[in-house]
Amino acid sequence: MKTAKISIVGFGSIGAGLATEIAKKKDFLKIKGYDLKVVTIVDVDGAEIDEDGLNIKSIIEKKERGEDFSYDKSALDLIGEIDQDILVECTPSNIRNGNPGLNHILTSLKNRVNVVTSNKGPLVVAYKRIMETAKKNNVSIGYEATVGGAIPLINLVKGNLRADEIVAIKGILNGTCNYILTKMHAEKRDYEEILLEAKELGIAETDASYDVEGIDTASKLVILANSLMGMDVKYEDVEVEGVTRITPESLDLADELGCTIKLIGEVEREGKRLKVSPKLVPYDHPLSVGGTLNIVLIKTDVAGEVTISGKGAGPKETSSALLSDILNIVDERC
Amino acid sequence: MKIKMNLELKDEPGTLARAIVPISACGINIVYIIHDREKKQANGSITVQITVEAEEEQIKKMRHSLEKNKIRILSIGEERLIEELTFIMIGHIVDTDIKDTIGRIDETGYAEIVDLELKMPQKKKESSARVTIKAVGKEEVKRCMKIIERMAFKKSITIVYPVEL
Repeated sequence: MKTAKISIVGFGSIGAGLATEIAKKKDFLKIKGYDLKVVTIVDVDGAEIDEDGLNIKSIIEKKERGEDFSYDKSALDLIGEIDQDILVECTPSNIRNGNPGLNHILTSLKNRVNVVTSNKGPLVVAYKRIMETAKKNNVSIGYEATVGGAIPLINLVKGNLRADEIVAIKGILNGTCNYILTKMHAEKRDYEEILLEAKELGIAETDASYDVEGIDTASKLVILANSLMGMDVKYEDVEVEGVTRITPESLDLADELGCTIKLIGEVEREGKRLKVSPKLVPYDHPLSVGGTLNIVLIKTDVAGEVTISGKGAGPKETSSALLSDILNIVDERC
Repeated sequence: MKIKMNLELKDEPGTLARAIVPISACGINIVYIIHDREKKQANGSITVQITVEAEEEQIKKMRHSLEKNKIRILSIGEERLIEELTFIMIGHIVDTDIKDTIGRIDETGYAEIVDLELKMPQKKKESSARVTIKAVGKEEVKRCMKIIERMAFKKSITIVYPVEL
């Protein structure tokens, strides 16, 4: 049995979702030979600590009751203090300076604690620095959950496709935009109306600008370009246009051509071209998927085109990617 | 009719003018010239592509005139618009003068707007248009895209291109 002590930093929907899945799958994971113990949970409200493994259910109930956590400690306080194998960083993304996530990740790596994260900001801002710090301290970092939710994209390329060179990546990387465009097309309704509905359903954030203006897709492109294509690019290198100007009439005009409109993120190694923009996608094209689905088409020198699709967001789906990284690290390091 | 020809010219000063003058002298309208000095042939000469608009009689006269000036015609033939690009424009298309957009493409000489469908919702809202361009080749389509993108930027219009280009 391989045992790993895990800390979860950031106990919002993603952090709580992961903790729930770890608790729910405890027996299944034991059958597979893994014993995962969540030893600390840290949030802005404080921390919960138990080196023998926390009772996740009671902590979630406590959080729901609005009660403070038991210890007035921050993530940075606990990194050197508590014995842990993997720190899971799930704080909200900040693509301007990467913090607080970047600080958590770097401190953790410097203290020889492996990291798994769903937080895009630190990787967009400081991919190279994070990788160098991990290498220097002989620890691992997993970031599958930063792009495409449940889709095992990064691990697929780094694993099964590791002999291939990635020439281009193109896809739908934001479920909120895909939902809005799919609904606008099907129901011939205005962007504003559908956005409001998406907010009510919890598919779009109250401030949806990050999604609808293409910022989220652009951030994911930067991570893919740097980590899978050996590029050295910044957010500013991406040409970005979102979906805010798409009209029901433009979708009608597309429909008459046998197409729909999708927000497509694309990166091409040649010419260092990174672009996020609405595109005409024929109904029979591999990228024509609806609802909140994400899809990615990877173009390689040997395999040619490989397409992979799945749910791009949601706490449960993101937990699948986080758990996959956690188990990879346990196999490798614990 | 539109005629495209490739002429063989010596890579020395004044040879391009020696080719153009006899063409113009026949009353022929030169639509555009592609003059790439980097692409040399084995004998050191360069190929210049010239597209003209002319009647058959004028073409005959021009061929004779070029031969007299010792300029070799490598190929000559009617030019056809074979490449097509359809895209969607979103914005205040009418207010920002769509005629100007069409005019800029048509006056290139190597491409034409062959179809345009406009949908306007309410007066104050942005309208959408589907535009089809036909051009003589892939390179010319790319040049049209650059013209369109410059205008779209200036007039704050969103362009939705096909996913595969």
